[in-house]
Amino acid sequence: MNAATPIAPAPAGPRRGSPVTIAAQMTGADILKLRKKRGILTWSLVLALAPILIYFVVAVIQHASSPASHGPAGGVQNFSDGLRVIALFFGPLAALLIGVEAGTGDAAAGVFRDLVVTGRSRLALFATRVPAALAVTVAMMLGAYALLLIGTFAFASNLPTPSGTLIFDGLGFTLLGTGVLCVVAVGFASLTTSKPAAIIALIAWQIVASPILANIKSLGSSREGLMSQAIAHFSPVHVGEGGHGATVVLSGGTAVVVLVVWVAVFLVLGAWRTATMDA
Amino acid sequence: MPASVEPPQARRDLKTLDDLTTAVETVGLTKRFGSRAAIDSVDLQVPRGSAFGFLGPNGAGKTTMIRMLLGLTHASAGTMSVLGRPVPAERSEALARVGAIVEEPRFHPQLTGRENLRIVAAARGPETHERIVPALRRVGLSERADEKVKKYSLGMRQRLGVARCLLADPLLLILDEPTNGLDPGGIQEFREMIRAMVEQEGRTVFISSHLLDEVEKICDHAAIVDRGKILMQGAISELAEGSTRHELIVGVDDPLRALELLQASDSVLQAQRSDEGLRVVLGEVPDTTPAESVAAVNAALVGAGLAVSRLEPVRQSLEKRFLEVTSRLSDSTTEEVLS
Repeated sequence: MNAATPIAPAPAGPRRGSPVTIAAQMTGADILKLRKKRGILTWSLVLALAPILIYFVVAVIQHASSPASHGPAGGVQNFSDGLRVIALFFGPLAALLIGVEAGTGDAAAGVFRDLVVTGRSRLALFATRVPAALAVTVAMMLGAYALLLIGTFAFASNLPTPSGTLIFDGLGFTLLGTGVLCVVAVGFASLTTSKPAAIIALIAWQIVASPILANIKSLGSSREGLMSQAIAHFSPVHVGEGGHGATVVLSGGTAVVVLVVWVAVFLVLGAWRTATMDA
Repeated sequence: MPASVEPPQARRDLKTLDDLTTAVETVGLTKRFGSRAAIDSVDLQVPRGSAFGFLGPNGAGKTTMIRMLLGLTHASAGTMSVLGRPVPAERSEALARVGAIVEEPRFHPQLTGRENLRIVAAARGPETHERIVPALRRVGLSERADEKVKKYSLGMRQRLGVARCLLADPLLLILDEPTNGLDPGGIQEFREMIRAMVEQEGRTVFISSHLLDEVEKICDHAAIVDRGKILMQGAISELAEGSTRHELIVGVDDPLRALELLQASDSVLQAQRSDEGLRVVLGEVPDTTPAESVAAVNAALVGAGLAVSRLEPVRQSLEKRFLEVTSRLSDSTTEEVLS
């Protein structure tokens, strides 16, 4: 340690920097943390990209080995199947991992208290996790969606390819499904502050409990409150029995309200926990 | 209704920042966990521009106190201010010029030292980024700044923790057991750095520690805390000299005769031979000051025809004072310490 080297003096009084600049820097810092978390990033990439790769590899092999019984690997139908894979199943899992990491990373590393000690508002510390997690999720899902489009067009052969509208709607659907899951995961993980607990609970809810509940017809209209059904409502391709592809039939307005409520509730809970917990 | 003529508290504090005499002040500060008081009605004043030791045995409430000052946990009762700002009401403004290490310094292990500082700099504000390089240089981590923290030793993490504190250009550093994990050379460098911060840069450094020697060497003020209560506080020299135990080293031409005389004296609690001469512990005599007791000892020896060549008060160490006032006095170590 050097006793003689002075540090550049700080000004007395209030902090400098506009709120936008500070928010951008804090979000950038949260993105850096997520980018460098190799384990989570690798698993998320595997979940986002590997299923599509495997899907096309299998479809290409099947078509090559038996063209009569297996059509080309690309085209609209395969695009629809691939879209379901990345937007409803594996993409949300990747988003969930990223969201949980964003929500618990500081506490798990033991540095949350060091960020609180900066004097920065705890709500600000929580708030910047959301855009950071979304940025990483969106970047990953754009990659997965690009892979889907490449396979769809490259292996289409004589099959019809998706229209521009369908491609645009499919992208929006993918980002909606994964984005909502990501934000809910940030809020829920910030609430629990436990990475394993948050991952297990969210996967159990989204992959196991939600589909079961959606198929219990005796639950009636209460099933409209399921996040998975509200997301599926916006699918541009057929994914289930209900209108717009959902298992449960619900209106567009209801679907929007359901998603807004899910996101808002978990953001509020996560913010409350971050603001009040002992650091 | 007329507007208040009083300026807001924050503005008053801002104007008087340079005139602050106390960096930290608490009144009746209390933290309870259930029925147990971890901090019990503590009144603490940390003089501005000093190295202040917050000294106490393990479990005395040191870290709890720090956590309250930094807004990491709520106080159950009482008030506190940091750099003239009430906490938690103006926590953000109060902590803008505070750097702290609470317990062991923790970092994102997957990031480099420099990246970890970038994370904190982002939270502190744009102007903080320019302090990353000098802060790393100051703690001697420039060469290793781009290695991942998971490869750092505990000592290196301590240094990086200090660098993180320096990003705030702190008027007040709060360090919890800061020399943990440092090797002897590192501890010496750390002491020099802290003294430079206090003496050359006018910063206030608040160090919690259970290491008496460390506090005595680094700090010029201290508070002794035990079981959540401040037992005493003040300048280190005053704390040590406030001891009720007064000792003398006496040099005479006939030690054996002097020993007989002293052991028979009412003003002497204990006298024994040592390598330096006779070591004499003075007893408390009503209406008599320690100086008068020393004079009485000298008079008794000279009166008996002994030649006194040395009469030197033994400087009381903080360690002895600490053991006198903390709960350690009541346990089995007491007799050992006082014998």
